[in-house]
Amino acid sequence: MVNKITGIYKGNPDLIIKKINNTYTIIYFESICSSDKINEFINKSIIYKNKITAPHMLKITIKETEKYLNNAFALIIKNNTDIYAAEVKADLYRSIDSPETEPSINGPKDALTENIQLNLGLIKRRIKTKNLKIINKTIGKYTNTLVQTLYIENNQNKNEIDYILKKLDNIKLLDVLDSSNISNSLQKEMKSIFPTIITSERPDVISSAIIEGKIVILVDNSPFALIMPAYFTDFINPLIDKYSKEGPTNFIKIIRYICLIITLVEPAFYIATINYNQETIPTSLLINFMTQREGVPFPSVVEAILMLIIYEILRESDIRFPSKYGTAISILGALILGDAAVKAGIVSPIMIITIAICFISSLVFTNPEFSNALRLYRFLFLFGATILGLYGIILVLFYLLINLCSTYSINKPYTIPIAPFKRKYFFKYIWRKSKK
Amino acid sequence: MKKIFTLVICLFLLTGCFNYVEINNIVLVSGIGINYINNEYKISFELLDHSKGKSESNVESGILKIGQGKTIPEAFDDISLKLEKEPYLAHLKVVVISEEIAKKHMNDLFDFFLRNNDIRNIFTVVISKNASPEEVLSKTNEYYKVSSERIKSLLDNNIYSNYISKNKYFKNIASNFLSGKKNITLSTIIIDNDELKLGNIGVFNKNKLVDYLSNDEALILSLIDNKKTLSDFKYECEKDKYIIIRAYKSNTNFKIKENIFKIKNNINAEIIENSCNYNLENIKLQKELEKTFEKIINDKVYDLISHLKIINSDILGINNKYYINFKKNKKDYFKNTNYKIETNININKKGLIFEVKNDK
Repeated sequence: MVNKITGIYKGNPDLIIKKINNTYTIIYFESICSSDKINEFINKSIIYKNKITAPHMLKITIKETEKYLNNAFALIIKNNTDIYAAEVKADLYRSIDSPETEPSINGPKDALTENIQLNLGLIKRRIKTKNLKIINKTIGKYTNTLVQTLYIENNQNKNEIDYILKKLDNIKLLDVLDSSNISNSLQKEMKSIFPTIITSERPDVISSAIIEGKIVILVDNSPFALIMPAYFTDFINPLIDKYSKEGPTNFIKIIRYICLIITLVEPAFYIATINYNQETIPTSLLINFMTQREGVPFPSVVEAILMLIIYEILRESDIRFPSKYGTAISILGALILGDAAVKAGIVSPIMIITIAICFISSLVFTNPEFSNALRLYRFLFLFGATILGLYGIILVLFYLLINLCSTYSINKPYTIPIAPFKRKYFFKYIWRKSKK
Repeated sequence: MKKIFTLVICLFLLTGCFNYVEINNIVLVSGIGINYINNEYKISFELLDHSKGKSESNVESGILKIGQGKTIPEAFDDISLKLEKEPYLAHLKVVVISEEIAKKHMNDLFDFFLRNNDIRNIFTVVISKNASPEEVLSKTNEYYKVSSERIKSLLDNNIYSNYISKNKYFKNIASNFLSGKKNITLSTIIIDNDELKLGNIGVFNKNKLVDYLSNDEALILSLIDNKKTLSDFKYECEKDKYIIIRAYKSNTNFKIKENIFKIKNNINAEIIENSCNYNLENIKLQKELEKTFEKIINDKVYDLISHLKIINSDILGINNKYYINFKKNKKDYFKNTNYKIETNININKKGLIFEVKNDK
């Protein structure tokens, strides 16, 4: 039997075969199992008591050995005929950290990790009810990743739950290494470039979503959970807003919507007014613009596109580069782009201000997919403004509205709670108003 | 699909870029002067110079370019031959016209400016009285490097004596001129001791400048024509001693009848000077004061209306009011009809100083 198993795992140098005595042989993968646990529980009991007293012990057949060995079980072979499997998982996970992508001043400071059970524990610590349903599925031909669907069933979300479970069953992937694999497969049918699933690493946000009737998907080895359905406003107003007071939060919500408008249309609006509607700019400001533009060889559109692309490159390199080099990039960005480009006469200072305001506004939106969608529309608006001026901006705006209105997140309109109007959701997320 | 494709193609090919212009290629025209000499229009553009290197700060200065032609468009074309960049007229602030234009060529002026799509009609028109428009537009000082901006500031900020000229844009003037509801008035600008100064108000009869109003008359006109007003009136109680009131709110009603029209003024006023040392707490005295000022203002209104009747300039729109009342036109109603003036003054702000030496 031992020879048979070692024959199957020939190419695995981390497979350890320990012959304890004439009766017992232990086989396990050194890379995923804890040698301490094996010595402590299994070795000791065999040597001193001549019997196995390991926790979670099962008797398995030879066909099941692959499944158990790969899931950090040690196989104990007795008399070269019986196979027992005992769980001796090594602790390969990092501890609970604070959230990096969704930081907040107040509210809990724990974040999901790569361990799905730990993640589930973080959620269950918050939702203590029997109504919390968890459905396990294994997806991925090679990875066999555990995917858990969490929800509290109510009258409203019954259809959505069935829809998602059906979709999960139909996912055929070779590997599921992160929740984004599942997210992409679920969003495949939706042609819109706006994300229809929220990703979150905050257990408090996830718990609040579950309580609200949304559906959450946890994926093993991924510190991000998927929350569905997600509407357009959810990407503008984070769910952690509820930890702050009502009045200031509403003010910040207004600021966020202003940021959305600025980041989408500001460069386009600048191009449209400066090239088509100069009469709308106050005379002294226009004179300033003219003075600054003097000597710049490119049309303002080329200038804008050039700056937008440079900033996109800067941003991308900032994300990809190790954070220790971040200072180098900021010095390079600030000095080269901010000052030298103006002095060299490649761009005008006002264009740098315009693009900088646009980018600062875009940093309000943390969801990378949402930012990508905004980025694409920013270029579309610029294109419209270049060809048709303010009229072009309005045309692209219509296109954006049509796109938003025809987007669905799990059979629900993306524009909820405005169209169709959902009073409860509206006063919870768009304009907070507590019940009297 | 074909239809949508055609629509999209049309959208981009037929509409796009037709008025695209880079700001490097335009020069802003801030003021236009229009003169008529030797049977030719002489037009001057005051351009805003924004070239770098002239000064550290971006203070713009005006440059004058002059062109001539038999018609206004010809003169415009003549100037454009002298310009390196395309003149941009949407930021036009002031048009200065000579007396000659105001007297004989107003029709051409309105025709040109109303037909021209490049010019926004929110600029002010002024008459240059004792100098040519070119001279007026070249009068700058160290604070105001652009003459047209200086004229605009003069008109905007002179609210005391010249409320009537404030915010009178070309669109309002043109609307009155074309509809014939009112005869128009225009502010004038003069050069006094090498400085720009606001002059008297020019009064038109139809399309001709016929006369000017004195400052006193302009004050009364502002009182009758504007609800918002700040007009001062004085009464000399002794030699070199005055009591001065300021009308801060006025409400004028016109009552039009077949053979007479009445102008009724209700004025709220405050006392701004009391060098006569009147006891203002004395109600009887106050009533007397109100009556005195009512008479003063009544006389002034009477003088103004008589002057306007002589030159037949209906700047209050009395003829139009007659038409609205009786639904028939009577061309010389304002000129030939008798009138009656009634003024009520309510001095309801007496200031905080009540202590007086003697109770007169």
